[in-house]
Amino acid sequence: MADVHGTGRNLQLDPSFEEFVSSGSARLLRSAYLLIGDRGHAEDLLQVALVRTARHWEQARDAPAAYAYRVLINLVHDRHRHLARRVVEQPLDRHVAATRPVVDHVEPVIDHDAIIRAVKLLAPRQREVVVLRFYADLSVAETADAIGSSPGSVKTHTSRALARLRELLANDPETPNRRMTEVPGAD
Amino acid sequence: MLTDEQLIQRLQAALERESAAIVPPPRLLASIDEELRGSPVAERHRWRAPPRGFRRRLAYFAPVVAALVAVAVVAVFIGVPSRKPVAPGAKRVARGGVTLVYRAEPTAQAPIVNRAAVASAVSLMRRRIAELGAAGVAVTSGGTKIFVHVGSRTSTSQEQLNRAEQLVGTTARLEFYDWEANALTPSGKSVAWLEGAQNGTALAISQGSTAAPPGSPGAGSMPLYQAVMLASEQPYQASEDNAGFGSEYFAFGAPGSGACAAAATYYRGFLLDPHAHCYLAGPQDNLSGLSSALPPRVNLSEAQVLVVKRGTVVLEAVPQSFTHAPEWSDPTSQFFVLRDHVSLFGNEITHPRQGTDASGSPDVTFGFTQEGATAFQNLTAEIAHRGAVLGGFGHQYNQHFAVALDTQLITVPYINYKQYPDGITANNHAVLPGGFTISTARDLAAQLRLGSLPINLKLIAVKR
Repeated sequence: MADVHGTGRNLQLDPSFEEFVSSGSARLLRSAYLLIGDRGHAEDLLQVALVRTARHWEQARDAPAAYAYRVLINLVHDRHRHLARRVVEQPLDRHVAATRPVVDHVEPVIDHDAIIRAVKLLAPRQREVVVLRFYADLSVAETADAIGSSPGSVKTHTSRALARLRELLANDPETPNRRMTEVPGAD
Repeated sequence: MLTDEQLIQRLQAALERESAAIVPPPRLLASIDEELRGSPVAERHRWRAPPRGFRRRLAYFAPVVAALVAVAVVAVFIGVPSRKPVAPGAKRVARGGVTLVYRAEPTAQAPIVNRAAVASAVSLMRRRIAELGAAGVAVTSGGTKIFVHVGSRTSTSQEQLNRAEQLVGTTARLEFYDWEANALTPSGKSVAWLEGAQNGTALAISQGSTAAPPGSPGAGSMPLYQAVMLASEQPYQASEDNAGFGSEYFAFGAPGSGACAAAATYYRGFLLDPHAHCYLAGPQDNLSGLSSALPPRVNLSEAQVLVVKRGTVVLEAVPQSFTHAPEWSDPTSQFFVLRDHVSLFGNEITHPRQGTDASGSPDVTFGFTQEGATAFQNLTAEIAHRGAVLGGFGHQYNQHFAVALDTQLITVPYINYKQYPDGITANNHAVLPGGFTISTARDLAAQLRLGSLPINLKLIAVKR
């Protein structure tokens, strides 16, 4: 576990905010990473999101996670808008795949990488809903609040995201169709 | 077919596994605290909830319209200066002044580049300019970029540009390494590991020769491509004593390729070896940065990208003189690969000043803080102990430590284990000898005195 506390520093932060950062920053950071796919930028977004949350702590302290995720999603939108005006960045894994150690996990039923590839191909709003609901574990109402939408819209996006995932996994060139079928005793 | 519930379960497992290695950066709370306590600048950039309704639209559009009108007025009545960026290495001397644009990048000491870190770096750069004197140089910042304006509207000399780059753009980070314990042979094993077995390459790196003392070109050093290739094969090993922070990306061209021909034109002044891989760009901290740093008309798809992970550093061999900053594109430069375990950082030295040795050659002397003195004694004691152990086996091999400034070795002195079996107590001044001129020694002493920049700087453009 990383040391999220500034060692040897006299911090002037609200203790409840420090507690929130200690307990929630890892999941917030990982959510940011899953949404934008770049670790460095995810750390930047995490810091900005937490600074903004700290600035409005009186307002956020009742539901800090929801507040922080709302700020994070806004930052992700800002980043998408910013990237749309820039040259397209090339995905990291295309070039460094050869340098990564090979992880020897045999997954007989469904390929972890195939799912992640499929998630990356989802529409931005669908990906947000998937990450917030199934990774960050936000409720439909909290997800709706975070992405600035209605609960009904969240349910619609969720349903469409799952359908799209099925479609992408079925057509994934590196995923044999048998992987989408149940194997007895696989779990 | 999987049910929705099964699909969601596997989706959750995949998302968990994909992100499991991502952990919050160290000192996160301290960085947030600094940002919040930071400055009126931070206050000015405070995020505020946007107003709603008509006022919201007005609030959004009014500044945009005002800015467009202002730009139109400037364009019509004054003229818009060229904003075409010129890539690093292709500095142009312009009549209207030159702006060096640096991007601030994280270091182990400042893992997050925030406004406080940038402001601290700008403040230090201004103190360097004030103390060392660099006429017509001004430093400003915007976001994570730092702009160094050199010269006036009437003239900017190449000397002014070089001086600005040396004073302002260098990080001036000093590190002490245990040489034999960290220097790697082409096999990936450390010199200390192989030296006892009388391995030829390990001995060359450790002992050098009369013509090529340890750490200098020819003493087991490698060309850049071989060094980066060796470094890229080393595993990721993050620890608190790393000088580097993240991965570093390099791009090379195949021997005789069009990319190498383009690089030879771009990095003019260097002869190209048609039988060797050529340097195209790097080190950069990500692929997009690497892509933008490539010579014109060279695509990343034509390049061989090598990634040096955290925990390994590539250092240029000790040069003959320190009159010029190291250039990665110089094919004659030689390099060593070290495990990035720093024994002593530059912030643990005191009172650096320019001096002269017995022969009158300029050098840089300094003392240590209490912690620095302890670390130095521990380092030298460990080296002396290793020398004594080798001596016990009948091998009289002097053991060394290395001093590096940013990406370049400065000196690799040895420890006489018979004279200092318990290491050197740093009560007196230590000395950095080398091929200094008086002015380069004075500049280095001043930079060490003012301290290193808290962040790394990458030159990303030179604008006229």
